[in-house]
Amino acid sequence: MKPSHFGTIFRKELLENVRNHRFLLALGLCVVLIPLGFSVQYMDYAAKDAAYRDAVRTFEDNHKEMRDFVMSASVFRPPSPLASLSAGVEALLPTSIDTVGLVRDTGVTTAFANTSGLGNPFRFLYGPLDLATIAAVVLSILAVLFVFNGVSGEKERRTLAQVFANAVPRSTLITAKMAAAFVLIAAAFLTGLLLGVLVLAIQGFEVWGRAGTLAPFLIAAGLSLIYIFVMVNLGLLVSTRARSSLSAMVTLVMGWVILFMLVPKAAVIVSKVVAPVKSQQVVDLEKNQMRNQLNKEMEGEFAALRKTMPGIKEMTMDEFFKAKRAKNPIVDEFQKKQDEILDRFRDRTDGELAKIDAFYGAQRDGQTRLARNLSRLSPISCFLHGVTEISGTGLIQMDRLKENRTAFARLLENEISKKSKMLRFENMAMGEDGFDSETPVLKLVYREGTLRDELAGVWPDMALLVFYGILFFAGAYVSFLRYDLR
Amino acid sequence: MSRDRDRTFRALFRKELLEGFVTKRFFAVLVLCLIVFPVGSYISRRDYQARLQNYQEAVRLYESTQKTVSNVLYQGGAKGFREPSRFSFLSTGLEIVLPDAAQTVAKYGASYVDMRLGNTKGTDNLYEFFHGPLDFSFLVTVVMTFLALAFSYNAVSGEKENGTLAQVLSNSVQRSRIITAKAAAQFLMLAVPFLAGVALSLALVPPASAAGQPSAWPAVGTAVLFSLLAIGAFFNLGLLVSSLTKQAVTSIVVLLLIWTALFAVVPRLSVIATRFLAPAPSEQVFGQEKAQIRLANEKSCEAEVDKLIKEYPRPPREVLVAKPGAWPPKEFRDKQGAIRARYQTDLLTEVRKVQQAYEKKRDAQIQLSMLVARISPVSCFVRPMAEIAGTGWLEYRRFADAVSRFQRSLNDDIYSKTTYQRMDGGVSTSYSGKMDVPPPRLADVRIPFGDVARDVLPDFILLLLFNALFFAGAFVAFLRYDPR
Repeated sequence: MKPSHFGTIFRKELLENVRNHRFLLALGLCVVLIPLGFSVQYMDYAAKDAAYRDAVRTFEDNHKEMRDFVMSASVFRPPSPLASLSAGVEALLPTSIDTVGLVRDTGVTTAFANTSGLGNPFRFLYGPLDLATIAAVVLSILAVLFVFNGVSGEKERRTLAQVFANAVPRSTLITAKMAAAFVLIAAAFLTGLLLGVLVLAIQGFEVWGRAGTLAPFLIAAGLSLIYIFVMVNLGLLVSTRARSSLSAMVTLVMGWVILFMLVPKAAVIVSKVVAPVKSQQVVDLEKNQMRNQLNKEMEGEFAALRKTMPGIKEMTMDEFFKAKRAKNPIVDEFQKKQDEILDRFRDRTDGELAKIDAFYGAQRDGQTRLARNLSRLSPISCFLHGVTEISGTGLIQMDRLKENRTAFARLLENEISKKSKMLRFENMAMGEDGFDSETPVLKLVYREGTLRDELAGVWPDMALLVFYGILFFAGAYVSFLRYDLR
Repeated sequence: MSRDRDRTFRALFRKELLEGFVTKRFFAVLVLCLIVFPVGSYISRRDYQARLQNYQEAVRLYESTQKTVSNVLYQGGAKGFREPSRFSFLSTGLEIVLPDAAQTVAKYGASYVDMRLGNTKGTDNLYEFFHGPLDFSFLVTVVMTFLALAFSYNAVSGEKENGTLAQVLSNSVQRSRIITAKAAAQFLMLAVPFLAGVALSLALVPPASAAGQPSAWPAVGTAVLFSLLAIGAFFNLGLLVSSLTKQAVTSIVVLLLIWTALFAVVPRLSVIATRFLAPAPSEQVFGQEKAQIRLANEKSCEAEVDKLIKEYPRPPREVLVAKPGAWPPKEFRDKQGAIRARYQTDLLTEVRKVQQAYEKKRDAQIQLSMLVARISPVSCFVRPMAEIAGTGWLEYRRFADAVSRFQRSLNDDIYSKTTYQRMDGGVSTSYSGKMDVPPPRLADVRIPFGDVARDVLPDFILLLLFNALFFAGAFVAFLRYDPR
């Protein structure tokens, strides 16, 4: 490849796109939409963050002693500060994990809760204006506009024949065309992005100064650039195959609709038809039913013990309490036997509930995995997966929530449930909670994922995106080399 | 003269139809519609059935455990479930984010209960929310509007480019006849495959019917009418741009940009703009505000009860044993009851005030969003479709109203009969009602179709106006076209 040829053609393509106002259009759109999107998404985040802090503060104010945790306990998920990059599924993610009912010696029941509410419903009906949407819709349309007639237009105007009459390698020509279109869209995008970051800084969110923010921003910007590269090459591929600009444009528009709209949606539908799963609501109710049934069985065993245990079965309630006050060893024996029943049922309940969770969890994961893999047929899906997970608003967050729920339940189980000692006699239950006012209160902290965790989930999308870019460029390259002028 | 005009119109109309048949555009669209709409309907039906099954199972499981007032009071509270909309195949709308259940939130021994709307669908298939549904509304908004543009973008500019328009205009043919015949023939070629696709999908997958539920046909008929208007608006927009440009490529580039703006930018910007024009706190912030009020009220109430408890100290054990039931005295119980009742009234008044202020702001923002979004014909179509399908804002309000009524009956029939008292050295709760009777259930009342029709009427009129405006623009631009 001769650099002089490349430079000349590259410059010519740049000038052409600047002259026909395409670059100005791209720049205008990026400079307006990206900062506006960043600003609005940040305002959303700030409101969510204030509500999160308020919720944590209120909870801490009401939980100054360990006994308060017996009544209710919650751990709150902080909103993602990177929602400006992609709002993802954050609106549907639970905002807290709460205990259901009292934390008793029989165990702990927890549930996800989402208090973010509906607010203005139109934001769901029309979708957000985050970087992922702007890139996926606007930048891809811009990429199509930049290159749809890059080759087909020259074929139509016969200028390609004139260029080929000179000693210009075809490979240089196609590479220069691709590079020029890519550089112009990337320049418009990066200008918009820089302005967006500036707007965020003015609003009080410093991308570079806040821990764990700069790297995701840079990765999202990098992914957007790869995505532009993919869409430019797709446009160029269609342009080299088509005989007229019009057919190139029509094919690209149809292709865009299929890749952006139909493939990802069809993937979800196919997964739902192929691998149907019961709703979480039904699963929770099934778990509740199982819990009630086991509780009933346990109460039955307690009643049987009271009626059959020698020394206890003959006692009236008054005699029993007198014996307890007198520290009669038979009461200790009775308590020990009750504890054994309780431990056995607690283990059984944990096991049964874990079985239900594991069964439906595996089904749900299978359904999501299938949908996700099928949708990877579209580079747009790969891009959206990547940016969303990096932003901490993607599907991986649900796994994180489940991990936190397990850890939260285990902590309450060990620190409260297993420490409380209850003695049951007929319909009376009395006991101690196992801690006093000196016992330090629990620190419930939501553990967020690290960037490494998010990257581990999206590397296939990133690799596929690069692969699509290379594939489309290779297609355009080969098609252009094989083009017969006659 | 008029007969001649009619003959000219018919000749031009036939020519356009034949052109559509010769280029096989009509057949391509027909095949596409005959595949896409039945497939979309089938998928939406499966989806609805799965949601309905989940709903029915949730209700069955709930009713099998919460059989009596006692179960509600001491085992998990009361719940009400929202039935999924039968017409969600028309538009999934807000279905995935709408609350699907309401649950009581009550403290132990509370004599008043609040209800929290919840949504567990989010955790079912987050991926569905990520990419959106493939319903009738989506097919019209994306596929049909694109096809409408594909039919019209070169209707005039293509003929300008080919030079055939100059030849036609050199004959004594009225320009108004040409543009009207073009518009009528090409729209017909688009509408017939669309209607055929819809008819086939309704024949293969008829809308789900349920005893005691209104017929599906008014909703389906209105949705089809809205769809034809939306397709027509984009078709006429294509015709307008085609009349204004000299080349087909320029037409399609301009149309693609306009489509992107109308589909992806204007509706989103409308939501953003109204946040600045009519700010309203988020529901989360409002929830926190309510929680603060409740907390402050509770603290003041308990402080007053503490003072009262100090006035009535617990007598020695011997006295209690000698006179069982004499302590706490009736006077103490009555005084505490009065304090609690007063604070509860204050709390309800204050919460209601805050709630009304919040709802006023939120509703103003929603109304403004709706109004601003109507700049785009896409919004004039998408929102009404969600309302017609019972998956929009009206559905949210309907469910919220039903939950309010449910909450009232729970409070009147159960919780108001609960008494909670604190005393020196303990607490006591009592219930004065019957424990073994069935608890109230959520009474769900559907919105009459007339109310929905009234709500979507402005969008219908606007879509008509968009059609008229774009066609008038195309008409005038065509009349003023200079072939030189």
